[in-house]
Amino acid sequence: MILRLQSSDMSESVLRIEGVTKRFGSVTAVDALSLEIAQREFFALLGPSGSGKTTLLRIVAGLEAPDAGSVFINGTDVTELPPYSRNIGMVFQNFLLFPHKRVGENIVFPLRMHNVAQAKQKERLGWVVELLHLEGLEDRYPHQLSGGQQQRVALARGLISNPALLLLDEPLANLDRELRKEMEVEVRRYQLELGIPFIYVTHNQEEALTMSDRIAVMNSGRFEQVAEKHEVYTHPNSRFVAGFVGHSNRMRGALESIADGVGSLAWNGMSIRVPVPPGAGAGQSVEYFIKCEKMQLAGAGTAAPEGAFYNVIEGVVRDVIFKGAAADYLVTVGNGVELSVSDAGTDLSFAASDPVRLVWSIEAGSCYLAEDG
Amino acid sequence: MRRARTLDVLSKSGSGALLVLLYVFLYAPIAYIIYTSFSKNIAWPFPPQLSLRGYELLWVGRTYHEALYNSLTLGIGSAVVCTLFATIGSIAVLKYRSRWRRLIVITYLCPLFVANLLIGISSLLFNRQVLNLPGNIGSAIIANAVHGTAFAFLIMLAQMVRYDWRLDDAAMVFGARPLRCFWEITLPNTWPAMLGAFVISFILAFNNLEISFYNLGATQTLPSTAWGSLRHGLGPELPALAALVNGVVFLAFAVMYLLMRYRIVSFGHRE
Repeated sequence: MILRLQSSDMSESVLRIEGVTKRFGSVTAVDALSLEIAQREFFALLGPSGSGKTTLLRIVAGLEAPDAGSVFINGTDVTELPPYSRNIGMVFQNFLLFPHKRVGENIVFPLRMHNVAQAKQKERLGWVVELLHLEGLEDRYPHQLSGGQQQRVALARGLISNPALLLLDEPLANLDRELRKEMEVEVRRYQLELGIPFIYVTHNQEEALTMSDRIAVMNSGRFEQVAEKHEVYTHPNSRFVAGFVGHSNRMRGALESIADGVGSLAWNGMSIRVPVPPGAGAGQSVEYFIKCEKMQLAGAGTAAPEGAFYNVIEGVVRDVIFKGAAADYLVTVGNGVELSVSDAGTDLSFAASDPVRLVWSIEAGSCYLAEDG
Repeated sequence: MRRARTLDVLSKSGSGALLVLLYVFLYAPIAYIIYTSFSKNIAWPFPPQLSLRGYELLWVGRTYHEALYNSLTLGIGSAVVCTLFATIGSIAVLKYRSRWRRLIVITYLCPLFVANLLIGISSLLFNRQVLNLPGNIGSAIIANAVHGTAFAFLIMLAQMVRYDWRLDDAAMVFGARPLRCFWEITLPNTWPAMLGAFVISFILAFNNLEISFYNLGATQTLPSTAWGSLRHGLGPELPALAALVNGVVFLAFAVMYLLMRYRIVSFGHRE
């Protein structure tokens, strides 16, 4: 059963969860969540620590029993099944390789537990060792491997039994930056090659954006937004998502007036034009998020695009942070507040103390009703 | 400058002397009994005169052979029970993070603070009057295990906190049923803790007199034989017995130390 061929039907969901809830004492870690994940999908659960993403993953794996709701894998209700009967692969944070077993033994462990024939075990081991470039490491112990190699062994162990889906719990969190970048691309490559869904838990938005097809942004046990990654990045549907994904400038103030769907936000003595959030009226407090790379810098006095759909404000460059592929300009505007502008151009047109003009289209940002208080 | 150096030398030799004093305090009685066991006159073994008569008496004395056999049975029996209970207790506390874990820890450790004599007498009364059990080696094993489980539990807790129980999660996700998981993953990584608990609870029961005395009935163990023969006056076999038991315990610890020192036995993750 475990080595059965995967159907490659895209329309049928491999994982379906319905109304899953989990409480720990008075804390609701996972709050009535429903979700469907299709074959061949790379799905990221993105959220800050304590948002419930790991708990949700553990419920899917069977390591945690939900208080309410059901989990279906390939149409079968597995809610009551223990983890060892679910045909799931998993890659854990800190890898959790068995320290007393050699690499080869670690990798074939899932097959051995399912009483797969020796010859078949060998064949599968050969396949996964080649896939993950682990040749020659089979006889080592986990502590004799580098972080990246341990990561690959953990992946090999998760994939060897041809699971219905692979769960990954912050698997790259303990790798250094360089290695992480490398593994992000590789993990994505394996997923495309194998064609099974990967569910990837992370608090790192770059990881989620780099690898996944769809992202669920989690906060306090709920999904804030579940959408294609491009959609999540460009059209965040809530204050939380707008603040959590990407790097944004945040402006908070009262709506002074509304005309033709464009509001005027009073912010530090300036009037910022913003799209009016649904249900907002004049006098209400709102928050406007504009991504750093959506703002443009122009020299003071240069002609700015005219019209109701642009914001133009004056400021002075306080510092330039050159990062190689891009540069961040910290610009002081009215009342001494600072805005951050990211510019992909690396010609460093402006230097500290240059007077500049910030220009952006109001539709490039998103505006939400501010939470009370 | 010079004064500082003098002070340094003084404090170093001072702490050296203190260390020597502590060792004398700890080991002088044992060293004396070992020395006596090889002496002709055990009442006042000076000047030294070598004699192996004590060892000879032990070698040929039938009562001592039987007593040794009974002590070994008592020690092993009690150690098996203690290790089993301590393992179950520490898994409940550490792996399942039971809501009642504080209560479990305290109640498991309570027997440590009860006098052996009281455990012995209470077990005797309970076994005889409630369970109607006669005094024999079985009753003594059970009574000793009350005391030994507390020690075994303490030792296992101290060691098992270093085990990463998420390894068990991983094994379960990859298809291991609970018993298989324990056998394949938990046990290979935690057996040194269990061995330690086993050895300590064995030594405790093997050497115990107060608890065993009330529960053994007519069965003789090494401590009870020694106690009994003391009433007839100090014979040369008693120092020899004491020296031998000390020697075996010392050897057991030396072997454990060497195994750990040279990483033949290591605990938890090898890093």
